Amino acid sequence: MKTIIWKELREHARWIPLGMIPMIIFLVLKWRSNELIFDEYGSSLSLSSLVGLVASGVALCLGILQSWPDQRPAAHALLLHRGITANAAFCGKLLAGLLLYTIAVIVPLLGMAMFIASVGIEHRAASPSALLPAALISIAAFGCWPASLLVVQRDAWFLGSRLMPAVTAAVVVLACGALSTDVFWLACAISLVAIVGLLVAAHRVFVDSGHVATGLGRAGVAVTVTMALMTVMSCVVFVIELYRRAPASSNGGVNYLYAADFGPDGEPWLTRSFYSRLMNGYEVDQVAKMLPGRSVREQLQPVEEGWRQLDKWSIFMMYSARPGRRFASLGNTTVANSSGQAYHLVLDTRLDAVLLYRVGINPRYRLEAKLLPPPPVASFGEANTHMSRFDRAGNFRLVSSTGVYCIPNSGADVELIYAVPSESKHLGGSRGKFGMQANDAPFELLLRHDDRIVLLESDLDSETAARAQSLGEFSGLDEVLRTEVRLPHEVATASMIGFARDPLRADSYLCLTQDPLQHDKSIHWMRFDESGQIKQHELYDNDTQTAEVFGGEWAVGAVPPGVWAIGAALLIIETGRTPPGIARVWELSKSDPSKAAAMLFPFLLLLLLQPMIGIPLVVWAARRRSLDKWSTRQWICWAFWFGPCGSLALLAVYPRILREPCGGCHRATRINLASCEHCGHSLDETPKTGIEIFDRNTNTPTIVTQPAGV
Amino acid sequence: MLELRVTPGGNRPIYRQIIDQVRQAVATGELAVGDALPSVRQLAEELVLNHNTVAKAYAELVREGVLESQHGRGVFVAKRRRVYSPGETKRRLDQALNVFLSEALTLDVAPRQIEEAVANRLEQMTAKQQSSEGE
Amino acid sequence: MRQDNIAIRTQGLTRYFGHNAALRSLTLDVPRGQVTALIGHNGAGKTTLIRMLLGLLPPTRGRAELLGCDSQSLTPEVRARVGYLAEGHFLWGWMKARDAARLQRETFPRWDQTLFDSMLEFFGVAPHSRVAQISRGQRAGVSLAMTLATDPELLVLDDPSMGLDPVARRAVVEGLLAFARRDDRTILVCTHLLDDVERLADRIAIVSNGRLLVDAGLAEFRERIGGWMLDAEFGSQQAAQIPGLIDLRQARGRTHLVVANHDSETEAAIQRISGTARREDLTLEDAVLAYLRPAAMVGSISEALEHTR
Repeated sequence: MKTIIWKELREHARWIPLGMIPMIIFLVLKWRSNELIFDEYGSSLSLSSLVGLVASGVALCLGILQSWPDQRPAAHALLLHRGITANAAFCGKLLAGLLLYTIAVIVPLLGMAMFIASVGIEHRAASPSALLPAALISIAAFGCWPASLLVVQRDAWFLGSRLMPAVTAAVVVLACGALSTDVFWLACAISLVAIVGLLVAAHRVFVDSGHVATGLGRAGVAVTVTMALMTVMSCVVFVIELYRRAPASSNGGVNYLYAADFGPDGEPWLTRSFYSRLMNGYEVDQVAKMLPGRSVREQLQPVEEGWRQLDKWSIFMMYSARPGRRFASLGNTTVANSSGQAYHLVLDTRLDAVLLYRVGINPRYRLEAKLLPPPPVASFGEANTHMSRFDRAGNFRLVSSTGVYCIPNSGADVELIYAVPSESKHLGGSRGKFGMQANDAPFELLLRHDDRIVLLESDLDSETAARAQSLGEFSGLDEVLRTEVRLPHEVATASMIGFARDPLRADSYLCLTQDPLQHDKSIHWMRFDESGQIKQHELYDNDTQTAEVFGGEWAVGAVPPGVWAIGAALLIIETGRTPPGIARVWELSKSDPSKAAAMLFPFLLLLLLQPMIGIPLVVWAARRRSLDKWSTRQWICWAFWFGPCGSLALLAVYPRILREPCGGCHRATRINLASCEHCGHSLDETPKTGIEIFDRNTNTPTIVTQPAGV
Repeated sequence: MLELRVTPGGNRPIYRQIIDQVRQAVATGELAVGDALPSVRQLAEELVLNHNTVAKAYAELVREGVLESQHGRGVFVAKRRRVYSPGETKRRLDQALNVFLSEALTLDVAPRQIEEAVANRLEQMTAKQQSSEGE
Repeated sequence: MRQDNIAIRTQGLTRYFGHNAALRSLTLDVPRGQVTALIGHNGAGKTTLIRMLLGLLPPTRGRAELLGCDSQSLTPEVRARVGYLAEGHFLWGWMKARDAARLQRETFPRWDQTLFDSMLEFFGVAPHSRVAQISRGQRAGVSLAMTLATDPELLVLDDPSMGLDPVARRAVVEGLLAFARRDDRTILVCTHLLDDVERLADRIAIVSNGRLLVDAGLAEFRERIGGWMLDAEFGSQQAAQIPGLIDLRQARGRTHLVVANHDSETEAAIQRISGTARREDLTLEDAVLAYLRPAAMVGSISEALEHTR
C-alpha cells in the first residue's frame, strides 16, 4: 500500500498548488472586504459557502484525476495487477487523496487562522475561531472525492444515474452548511456518516472492478442512489410548491393574514390584514370581536373610523451564540463621541468586553477602548442585537443575557440598568423604544426571563423627557421605573403572542396565548395582576388559520415512509412531541373523532401509496434484472421504506442483461446463464463449423532441450 | 562450418528447413560423419528460435538416422545406415527422382546431358563421402 | 502450487458489450512450459479475453482459471507469479525507469533487479531517463524489463511488438526466447506478427468472430491445413461440398482452396470438382489468413478498388 501512496503522490502532487490558489484567493478577498467583524456572516461573501464550493471542487477534481486515467485498460491493469490486494490499492489512493486534499484546503485555512491570531483585534474584530464552520464544511466536502470515484467508474451504472453520487455529495455539503451554524456537532456527525457511506460504496465498486456490487457495497450504492433520487424529487416538489405559492401580489391577488389582537378595550379581537406596499407593512382592513367558544371569521367587518389596536408587546426569544461567533456587532453610530469621530461597538464574548472601534480613513478601524461590565456583574453574556440600540445622543443601550446596560457617549463607564438574575433561563424580550418618539413614553423596554416580565420605563413626564437629550440627563437610574410582573403558570414559555397593560384597570395585565404547533387549540386570553394571579381567563376559537396552510399536514405523507419513521422516532425521543402528519389528528381524535379520521386518511393514503407504487416497481425491475428471490425480497423491504426512489435505485445498481435466442428452443433467454432458462439447452454448445483444429493433447510431454536417448 | 539459415514465412515450417539443410549438408559432405552439431540451445540462440523447434528438428534427424545423440555430449553426424525398408527406400528415391527430373526437363536440356551431369555429380559426392568415411 | 500442467484454463468464457458479443463460449487450455500464440483480428476480443483471464473484467458467462486459481478472485500471491504486459507498453509519464523498478520491487516478492538492469542495458535505456522522453522502442524495453524481472511463472503479453521498429521487435523476441528457456515458464502472447509467431510459438490459437477456431501445436496445425490449386474458377456453391473448407480464393483463372483436417475424403471431393487439382504448399500466413479473412473482408480489395472507377 505504501508503494501506491508514493505513486499517487508523485503523480498528483503537481496539481496541489493549483488547488490551493482558489482557496487562498477567496480567503484574501474575504479579508480585504474590510468589514469590521471578520466572520461567517459578512455582507458580501459568506466564508463557509465559498470554502464549501472551493473545497468541493478540489475534492471532485482530485477524485477525477485519481480515477479517470485508470479507466483505460492498460493503466487499470498496471495499477491492479500486482502482488497487493485491490483493497490495499484503494486505501493507497484514499490516503494519498486525503493528504493532498488536506494540503490544498486545510493548510490555507490554518495559515489564515495563524495570520488572524497574529494580527489580533487591534484593527479588526477577527478571531481564528471564525474559520471553524469553514473547516467543518471542508471535512464534509471531502465526500465529493468518493462521489467522483463512483461517477467515473462507469461499469456499475447506466447512463443517467451516473451523476447521482455527485448529487448526494452536494446534498451532504449543503446540509452541513445549513446546519453548521446551529447544531455544530450534529452537522459533524452527519457529514462523517455520509462520507463513510460514500467511501464504502466507492471502495466496493473499485475492488470489484465493475462486478455487480455485492452485499455491503450494493447497500452503499443503493443508499447513495436513493438519497440522490429523493433529493432530485424533493427539489422538483419544492420548485412546484414555490411557484404555486408565489406572492399573490405579483399577479394581482392578495394574501390575507389573520391574527388575534387586543382591541382598544383590551378584549381580544380577530383582525385581518394584508401586506401594503405603500405602508411597507401589514395594514388591518377588517376586524371582529372574538366571542368565547364561537368562530367569528364570518363576521369580519371593515375597520371603523378611530378604532385602534391596543399597544402590545410580542415577545421574542433571544438566539444563542453559535460556534465561530466570538464577536457580535452591536451597532455603529454616526454621532461622534467625545473624541469627535464615529465609532463601532462590538461585543467580544471571549474577553467579555465591549470593544469600541473608532472609524477612520487609514486604518479604517482602530480599537480605542475595551469596556468591561460594571461590578458586580461578571460578564455581558450574549448580546441581543435586536433590542440593543443607540439613542439620538449616541448613548448605547445594551440588552444581553445578563442584563440591561447603558454605554454612555461621554466616554464614562458602563452603567447597569437592570441585572438579570444569573440563574435565569428562557430570556426573551421585546423591541422596546428608547428615545424620543411622538406620543410614546421615552425609554421603555420589556424583558422576560423565567416566569416574570420586567418593564423598564422612565418616570418623567413626556414634556420633560422631550427636552432631555440623553439618558445622562435623566440624572441617574432612579428615574428608570422597574416593574416586575409574574406570569401565571398556565402561560407556557413560547406561546405568548401578545402582552399588554390593561387600559381599563391599573396594575392589571393582559396576555394572549396560542400553542404554535397545535393549530387547533383555542386561543387563551388572560387578565392577571402583578403577582401572577389570574383574574379572568377566557377561551376563544382559533380563527387565525390563514386559508392557505402550507400543504396541509397530509402533505407530510409525501415523504418516504422510512424517512418519516426515522424522523418521527427522533422527534418523539428528543422532544416527546407528536410527529407532524399525525399531530393534529392525535389532538382532534379526542374531541372530534370523525374529523380526525378524515384528516388521517389522506396522510395515510399518501404514505402507503409509496410502497404501493414502489413494490410492484421493484418486482418488475427485479425480474428485468434477473434477481434471485432473496435479493428481490431485500429490495422489496427497501422499497417499502423508501418508496419509488428506492425501487429505481435497483435499476441503477444492477446492469442490464441481454437476452438472445437459444440454440435449442429459439426463445429469448438470458446470456449470463449456463443453459437456456426455458429448455435447458446448454448455451455453450457451439455449432461446429467443421474447420476447427483442436489437438487438445495437452498431456503430451513437452520436448525439452536435448532429445536424450530418443 | 555449417551455415544454417531459416526463413520464417516460407512455404515450409522452420523445423523442416533445418532438417532439409542438415540433410543436404550431410549428403554433400559438408558435414562429415562424426562432426558435432551445435547444441539445441546454441542453435536456437543463433537462429533466434524457440528451442523446441530446434529440438524437434534434431529429434526427427535422429529418428531418420542422419544424426545420432550421445549422452551428455551432444548430437553428431551418424554413420550412414539404412533406416528404411526397401519399399520405403524405393518410394523416397522415386519421389526425389520425380522432383529432380521434372525440374531438369523444364530446362529443355537433352536427356543425354542430364544423364552425364548426374553421373559426374554422383562420382564427386560419393568420392567425398568415401574419403570422409575412411577417416 | 502445481497441481497440473495447465497454466490457464477457460470454460465457456463469454463476454458481451451491450448487444455485441466480443467472445463466445471460449474453451481454451494453455499448457505449462510452452509458448502459445493467440491470433485474431484487431478488436476481435483478444484484449477482452486477457483482461478476463487476469480478473480485470468480469465475464458475462463462463469461468477461467489462472495457475489453478479462479480468475475473478485472484489472490495477490497468484498475481505475483503472473506477469502481464498490456498493449501499448503503458507507463505513467512522470516515471523514471528506476521508479518502475521501485514500483515492481515493492509489490512483487520475486523481483530480480539484476535482470531488470541488464534488460535496460540491452534496450539502451538509462535508469534515470523519464518515460515520457524515451523512444517507443525504449519504452517497450522498459515495459518488458519491468514484467520479466518479476520472474513470473506465467507471462501474458498483449501485442508486445506493436508499433516497434524491426530492431526493437527483434530485441523483444530475443528477450522472450531467453525467458522461455528457463525452467517451467509459460507464455501466452497475442500478436499479429506471424514471423515472430513462427520463431516463438509452440502452440497456436486462432479466434475469429469471437469463437475459438484453432487450438493446436504449431507443427500439427500446419500439417492439418492443406492447400489446393484448381485450374478453373469455381464458385463457393460447388466448393461447399468439400468438408473442412476454410477459404476459397479466385485469381487469374485459378481457384485456391484451403482445407482443414484434410484426408482421403477431402481429396476425393476435390477431385470430383476438378480432376487437375494439385496440392500446394502454404505459408503460415496463408493458413492464418484463411481463418481470418472470411470474417473480415468480402471479396477482394482489388474488386473494391475496381468498383470505385
